[in-house]
Amino acid sequence: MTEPKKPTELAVPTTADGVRDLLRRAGQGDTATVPALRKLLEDPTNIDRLGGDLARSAEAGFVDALAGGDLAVREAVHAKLAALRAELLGESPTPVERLLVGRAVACWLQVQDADLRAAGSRDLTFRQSEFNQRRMDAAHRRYLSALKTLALVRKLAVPVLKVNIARKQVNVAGVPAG
Amino acid sequence: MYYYTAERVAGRVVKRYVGGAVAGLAARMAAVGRDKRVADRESARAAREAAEALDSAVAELDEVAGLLARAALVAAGYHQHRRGEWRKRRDRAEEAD
Repeated sequence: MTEPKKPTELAVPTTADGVRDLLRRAGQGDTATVPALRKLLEDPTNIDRLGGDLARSAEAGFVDALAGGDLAVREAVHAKLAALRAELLGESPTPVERLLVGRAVACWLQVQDADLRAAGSRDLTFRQSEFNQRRMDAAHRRYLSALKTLALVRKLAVPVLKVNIARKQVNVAGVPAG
Repeated sequence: MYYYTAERVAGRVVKRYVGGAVAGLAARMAAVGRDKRVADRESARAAREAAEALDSAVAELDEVAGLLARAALVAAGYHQHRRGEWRKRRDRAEEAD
């Protein structure tokens, strides 16, 4: 009798394209990616490298668009974002949660931007109104989807990932010196 | 001196003859109207492009975060059942643990 073949373990990719490829394979349910994924998700710098800059630049773009040169509005928007972020992050968030919260915050900004542009526009043609309406609908859908995904990951994945990280820390601490 | 104005009325183009001294004024008003429409279109196009540029940054972030969320769920031992709910994978090796 032959033993069932074990999937070959993948190495943790070092390039951005390699990471994206790994995530795509994982998204398609490829179980061979799991060990590499766990290693990847444990390290906050990997997550930050992957999406941190995107979150920061998206946020900065919307803040510029909303506030323009008005420093008071800019400060108010930053204060609101800090409060929203703190509320969504909770206590001791994992790196994945941080990025998902970054996405939710960017999506919230997109909703505000779409609503403000639609409300502030006058004498629009039918096509322009339609564009604004579609943009508002898409922004609202995306924001709700971002919150839903955050809740799902927090409910299902985070407990397991935290346990994995904790186990690894215990193992590392338990290795005898020398 | 004469000038023809063209307007769309109930889906049909209606031309009107303007003659005499007001022809020059009518021509100038029509030109101002055209310039304003061109400027309005340009400004709407610029606003639309600015909004699309902002949205594309969020779309990219959305894609990466979505991939990462799926990866986190797969790493935690879940799989998506028929593009619907996420279920815990029944893995023989894990059951043996």
